[in-house]
Amino acid sequence: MKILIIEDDHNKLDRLRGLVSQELTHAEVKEARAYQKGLRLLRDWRPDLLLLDMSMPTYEVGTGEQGGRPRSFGGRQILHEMRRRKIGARVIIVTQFDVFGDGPEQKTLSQLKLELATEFRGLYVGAVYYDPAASDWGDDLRRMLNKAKVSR
Amino acid sequence: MARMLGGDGFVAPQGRRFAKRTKYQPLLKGTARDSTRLIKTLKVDDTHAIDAFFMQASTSLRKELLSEPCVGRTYETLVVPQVALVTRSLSSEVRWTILSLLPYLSQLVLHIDLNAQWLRCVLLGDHDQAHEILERIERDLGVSVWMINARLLEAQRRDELTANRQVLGEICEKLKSASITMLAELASQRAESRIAYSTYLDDVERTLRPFGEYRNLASSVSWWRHWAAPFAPRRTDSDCEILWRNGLLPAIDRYVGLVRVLHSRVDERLFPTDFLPVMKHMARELQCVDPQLAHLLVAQDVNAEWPMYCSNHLNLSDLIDLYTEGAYSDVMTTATRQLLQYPEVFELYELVAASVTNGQLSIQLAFPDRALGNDVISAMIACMRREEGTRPLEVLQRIATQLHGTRFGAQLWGFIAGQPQGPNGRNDSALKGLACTQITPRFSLLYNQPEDVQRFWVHLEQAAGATTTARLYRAISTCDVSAIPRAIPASRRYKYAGQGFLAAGRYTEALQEYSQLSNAAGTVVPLFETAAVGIFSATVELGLYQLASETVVDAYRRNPTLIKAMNLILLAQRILDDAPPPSISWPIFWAIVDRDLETSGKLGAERDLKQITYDALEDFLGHHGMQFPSELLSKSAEFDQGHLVSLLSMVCTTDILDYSPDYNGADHLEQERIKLCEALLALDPSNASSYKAEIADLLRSTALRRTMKEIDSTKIHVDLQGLVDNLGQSYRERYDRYREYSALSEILRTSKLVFEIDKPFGNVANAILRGLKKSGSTTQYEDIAYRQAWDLFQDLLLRFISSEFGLDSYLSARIRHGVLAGQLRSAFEQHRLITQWSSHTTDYGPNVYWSDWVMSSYDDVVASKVDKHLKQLSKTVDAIIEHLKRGKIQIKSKVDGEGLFDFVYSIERDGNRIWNMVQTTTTYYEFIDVLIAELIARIGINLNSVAQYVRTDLAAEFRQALDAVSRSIASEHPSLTHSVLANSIRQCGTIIHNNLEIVAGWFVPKGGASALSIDIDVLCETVVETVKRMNPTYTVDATRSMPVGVALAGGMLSSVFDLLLILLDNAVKHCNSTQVEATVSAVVVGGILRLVVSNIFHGDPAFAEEAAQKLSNPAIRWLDPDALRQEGKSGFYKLHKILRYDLRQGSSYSVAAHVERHSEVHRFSVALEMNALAVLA
Repeated sequence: MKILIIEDDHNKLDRLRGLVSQELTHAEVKEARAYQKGLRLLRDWRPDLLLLDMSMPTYEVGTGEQGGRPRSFGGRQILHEMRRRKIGARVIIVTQFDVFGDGPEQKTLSQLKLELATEFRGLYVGAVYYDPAASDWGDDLRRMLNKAKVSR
Repeated sequence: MARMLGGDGFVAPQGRRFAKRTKYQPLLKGTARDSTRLIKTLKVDDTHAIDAFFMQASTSLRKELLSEPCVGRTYETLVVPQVALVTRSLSSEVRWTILSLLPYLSQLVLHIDLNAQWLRCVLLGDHDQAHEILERIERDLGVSVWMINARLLEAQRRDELTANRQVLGEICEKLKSASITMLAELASQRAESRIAYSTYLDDVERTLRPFGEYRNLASSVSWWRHWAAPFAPRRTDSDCEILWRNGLLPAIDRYVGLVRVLHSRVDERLFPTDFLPVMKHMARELQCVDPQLAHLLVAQDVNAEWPMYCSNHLNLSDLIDLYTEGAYSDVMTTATRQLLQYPEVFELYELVAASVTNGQLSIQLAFPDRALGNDVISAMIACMRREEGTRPLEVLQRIATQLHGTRFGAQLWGFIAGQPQGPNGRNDSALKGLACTQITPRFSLLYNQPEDVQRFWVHLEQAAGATTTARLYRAISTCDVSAIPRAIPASRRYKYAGQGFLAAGRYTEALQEYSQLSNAAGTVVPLFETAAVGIFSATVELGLYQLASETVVDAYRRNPTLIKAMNLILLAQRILDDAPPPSISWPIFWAIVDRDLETSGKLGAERDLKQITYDALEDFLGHHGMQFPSELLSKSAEFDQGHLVSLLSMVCTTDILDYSPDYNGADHLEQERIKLCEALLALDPSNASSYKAEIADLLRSTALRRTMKEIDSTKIHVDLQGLVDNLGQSYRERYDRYREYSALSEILRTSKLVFEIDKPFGNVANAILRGLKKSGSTTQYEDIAYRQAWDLFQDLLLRFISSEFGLDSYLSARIRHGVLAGQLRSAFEQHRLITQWSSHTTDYGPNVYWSDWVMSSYDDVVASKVDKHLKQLSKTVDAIIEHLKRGKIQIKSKVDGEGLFDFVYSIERDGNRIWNMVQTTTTYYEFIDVLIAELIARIGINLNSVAQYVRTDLAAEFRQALDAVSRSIASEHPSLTHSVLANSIRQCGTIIHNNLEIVAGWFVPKGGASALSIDIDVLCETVVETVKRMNPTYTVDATRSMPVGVALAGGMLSSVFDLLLILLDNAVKHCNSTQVEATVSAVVVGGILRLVVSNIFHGDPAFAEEAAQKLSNPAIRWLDPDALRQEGKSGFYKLHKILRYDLRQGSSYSVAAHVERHSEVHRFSVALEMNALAVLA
């Protein structure tokens, strides 16, 4: 099974990688820390499962690269592109925020879940609220991983 | 018993009996103890009560009680309601205003008449007469706000700015009112002949903005804005405020406000309700001088009584018919002649402008030079021909605003609003009809219901007969194309036929007509535009989406404002979920939608239009087997050149291309855009200047990033050249001795040493004896050459790490001084999670941001605890940074030191290795090179440790700090777990990781100083950007003044950066305000480079002067290097170190600081002068 994790938070990425390796021992895991690299891996590598963050920079941040435009709804844009490019991976959103965007565009995680379930039926498996200080997210993600495996 | 006022239905049904028993009796008798409360009650009472009260009130009572005095000497005077409070009911305020105005009708009639006479004079350019009329108005009626505007305009037209300013001074002196002075200042400004309307509007907003902060001044602000910018978009809920205030002279100023408010509310169908009777009464009284109220009534109810036009003998209908029939030349000649007699009749200007445009005639100006009428007509023609050079729309907007309070001004604004490039407000377009000189067929456009339109035709034919124009409008309104009069010229027949077919739903025929119009339009711009809009509408309805999109793209290229008349949303909706085949026009179409249309909520679920635009581009490129837009350039001949230019200029921009997965980063993306802009220079030469500017911006942004990267990568630096050059003669002599000794045999170079173990004999002896833990004296035999080599290495090591050229001085200036703390703190400051330490309170400041935002909805105890946790976070973060600076980013020279730059060498462990290394060398410089190579290799090892430490240990420390604050805050209240504050803490976690990655990137080995030579302005911008990032809670406004084409030598880049960074960062930190205003300038004169950083200083100038004195103290220049780079001292000391050593200035430089004292804020400046030859490329 090929799993892609698109996540710009190093700590969260470490923990997601750890959990995935533990749960799916034979899985091949690749990582991207930004929209552009994530989309390219999706297009070229065609993973079976995607663990996707919602907010991310355009390019991976590093020395001499500030990351380009920050994308509050980068995860949603990735989903949109997956549908357009007919990339059929199952997607689990893993986010540590329960409010997204600013001003009139702002929405809660519950609103977002509902929208994603409707708009990206067939791709979207579910969303996990990641709280680094709690362990619930791990159980939730395990459930989602099972759900994704079953529905493959 | 009913009594009528004027016989027009203004009836108080209960008459005097009502008044007798009413609670308002004390007001009528003048015995009320609380008249304000009673009037407030009355204002919201039913209409009968209000009418009855007015019927009973004497004229003097009405004037006394019902007119709100509002122009005071100070701004605050405006706030205090004197008599009748404003209500939120527009209907109530309209009624109240009309009733208040009734006692002033005779004044009003006189004013409107004189107003019209004045307007005629101004349009004709007869300024003497205009002046006399204004004198008469002032003498007979008094001063109104309207008149202040008129006087200033007349003065400006008469004798330019000098007269304008003189009159302004007289007005302000005479009236002594703060608010009127403000309005007069603005009126004076807009009367000026050169100011752009948009600039004027900006000034209005800038003037009013400070008052907006005071809630109790909101009403005054609405009223001021009404007078200063009557046609600017405003909140409709401010209409009550506008109606409520009298102005200077109620009879005039309130009437002007009433008419403007009613004009803008014509669609709201307020009229048939409660104030219709009083309005009818007023309309009838005024109809001869101003039929606008009567027109409003007719627009609301087609069966209302049409006004009598008492004094106007002009027969507009015949002239309009001539125009309709295409006799453009005749119309132009006649209308131009008539304008001399009726310069205030706006319809004549329209006829001249339309005839000149459609007939492609030469303009004949009607009036003498400098007459305002000429300005109007020239600008109208330029506007219709879409000649943008003179910015005709701006000219017209300014004139319409100058003529606020006249019918002409309203009609002119109606014309502006109807232009495709105009503000295009539906209500404002109606102004032309409502303020018209006479009701003509065009008035039919004010009706929405077909039965109203039919009824209108009946009335019009009764009044004016069945004219050609009336038959034409009627045919269009009934969609009866066959009824379009034959007399109309062919091209315009296509236009009207197209309109008729479109309205009748006969789209194929409409498309045919509009296509013919497009062919026949030639260079007549309005006809071409009408054709484009018609073709678009017909093709969308017919499902010919590809053709529709091409029409949009072509029309947009000719006139971007045209799309306002096209329903692009409809087309967007139809193709959104069923993408059409790839074509070059689709990405352009989506870019236009994204750029120019408000689509919020109109395209179903939330849509990212930039992404849709990119998708359409990718489809198009993919269809042609391409990945990047630059691949199009080699095949440009295959595409329509206009479309290609639109695609490259509007779609292939960085903000759309960054949706592509194929660019590796910002550099790659910008290189692609530069290629496209270079191609556009040839493809679209008319816009070459904007492409050149974009290329320059992109190159600058690339250079900025490259400089930033360069600066980051040279943070770890040792000035090897400086170090070697400064080893001195003694080092060389010691080397020579070593060489001599090492040439001797081993026996000859051995020496006997006796040491007292407990009495250390210097560092070297200690190092040698380490491990020999015997007490008492001991004897050792030592190889002197071996010892000399070790000593030379130790000496070099010491210089390498801590001399003025060594590593520690760079660690101090480039990392520990401000930059490190700035980079790490900024992640927390960006989310306002930490505050700053105050030496006054000896505590961290309260977190006002979160207290005001999130914590204000919690009780004080919780809020206070959360604030405490945030303070603790501030403390922890600063402690982590301090530990990093003082403990970790230090040179470790002792075994038990904490510094990560480990330069501990021992002779036991390293002696032989060093000896073996130097034995292979034969010359002095080889010897030095070998030792330096060893030290550089050690730096490499150290840097890896530091980077590793930053990525792991430091990251963990920050993570723990954030986790701890998260937990503490959540424990105060369960809902805080899911609050914006909690989200910000999480976001900060991601950002701090990124920042740590950047910091870790500083600790990479790099050979020598930068080889890049960089423009001094780019470097300066990099400094400004760095300071902004280091201080995210400050607003830094730094202007630069730099010589063009002056570049810094590569090796000097980082040092000049350090200089400027220290100065600007200090300016930010010590200016005593979060709004930082600074200037950075450079100049090269006579071989001297002079850099000046100055900033506005808030607070006690004595402190600044003390700092300036210290900084300019010549004694600092002679401090030894160690003193200059001491931690905890002023960053200014480091300036001297950088100038003296890094920039090779020795003592040939100067640092001068001074303070300019001003009344409130002061200016602190530091000037550095140095030899330019050593620094510049």
